[in-house]
Amino acid sequence: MTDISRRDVFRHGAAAVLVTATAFGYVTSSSSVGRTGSRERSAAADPRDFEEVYKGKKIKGEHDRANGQHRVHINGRKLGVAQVQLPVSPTSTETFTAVISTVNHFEPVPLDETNNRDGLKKLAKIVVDQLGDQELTRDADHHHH
Amino acid sequence: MGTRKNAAALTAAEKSNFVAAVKALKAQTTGRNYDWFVRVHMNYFGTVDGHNYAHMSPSFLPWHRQFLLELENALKGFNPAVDLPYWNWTANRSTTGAPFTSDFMGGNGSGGNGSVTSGPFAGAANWRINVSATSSTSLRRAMAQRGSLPTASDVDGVMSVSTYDVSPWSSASRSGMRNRLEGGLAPDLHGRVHNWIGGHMAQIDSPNDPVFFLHHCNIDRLWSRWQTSRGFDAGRYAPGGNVSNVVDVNETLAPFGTTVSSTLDHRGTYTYA
Ligand SMILES: [Cu+2]
Repeated sequence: MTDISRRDVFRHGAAAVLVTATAFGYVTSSSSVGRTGSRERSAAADPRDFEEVYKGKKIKGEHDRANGQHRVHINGRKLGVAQVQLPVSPTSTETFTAVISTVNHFEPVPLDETNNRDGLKKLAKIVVDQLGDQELTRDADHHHH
Repeated sequence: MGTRKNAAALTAAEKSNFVAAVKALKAQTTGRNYDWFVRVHMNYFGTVDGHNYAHMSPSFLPWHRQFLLELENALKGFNPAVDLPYWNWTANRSTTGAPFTSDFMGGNGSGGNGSVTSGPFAGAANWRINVSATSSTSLRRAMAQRGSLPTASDVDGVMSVSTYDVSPWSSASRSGMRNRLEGGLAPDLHGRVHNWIGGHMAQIDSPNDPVFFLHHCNIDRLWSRWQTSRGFDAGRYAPGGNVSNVVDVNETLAPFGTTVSSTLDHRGTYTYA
């Protein structure tokens, strides 16, 4: 299986989970998610992943360490996320990894690359703060790469 | 040939003419109407055909120059006297002063994070948001909560950088004028102004806020200022050629169909006052 087709299978798995979550009115527990897409989920397991409620909105984040195609959903709607590289400083050759989204488009949030850190969650919370009483639309899931 | 003026120096008639032309373009139902510009900005945020045309690349400046020019030409179709104004945020730093007055761009969002309540773009009946990552149908701003406005010395520092851009020609470029102007490197003259206005201006659909065009007009003016001291010729853009997946000086800027080199010397089309 090529990388691309593996990713496609993976994406379909994630979509199936999303449909299930929507059908149950967002009250998906982590165990029911696991049952729905067990193979894909276990392949994706990353200790930085999260699923919780923040300011009344369900935020869910899944990291993609291999390809940087991280996935964030807010109230079940997909947020377009892009991973970018930024210079540490003009005097350093080092770069760091950050994430931006279709909603916080000009505010890169550093993505901690070690386990159990919360860069992607910070991004999701900034987006919730910005949304206020709004929800994401279909155009929030803009294809970045 | 047009003269692009400081928004703070516009007459009442110039302001109302600009607003009327923008609203006419919004009301147009076919062709390249206002929402077409919003959609194009969204579509060209990321990689298209392997190229980052619009953002996080050397072509950030020429792409937005052409984007603005196409919008300005569309406005001139309604009123040939209209030119894009620029918002000089090093001088006009108030949420209630120019250009955020009720006779022009209007003010802040209600409660600091909601719909704009004053001016010609307040409320969905006056200015309906149709194409957006978020569900509000009225224009939103959340001014001065995040981001900040650059100072004149921030601008001078960027203007003093003589190299246009450097490899890897992206947000990761650790030198060059372009990344400092765009925002991958401090002092970030462009991105943090989007964040300072907030609301739609912070989003991928930022052209929904007409102040987008005043901000980017100022960014274009600063590039022009840099070119005035260093040259409008193709040698002052980089890369010159043969860098795959980066828009070289003789490559075409999608979706406009013009080359980077044709955008460099704008002085036959418009100048800045
Ligand atoms: Cu911009």
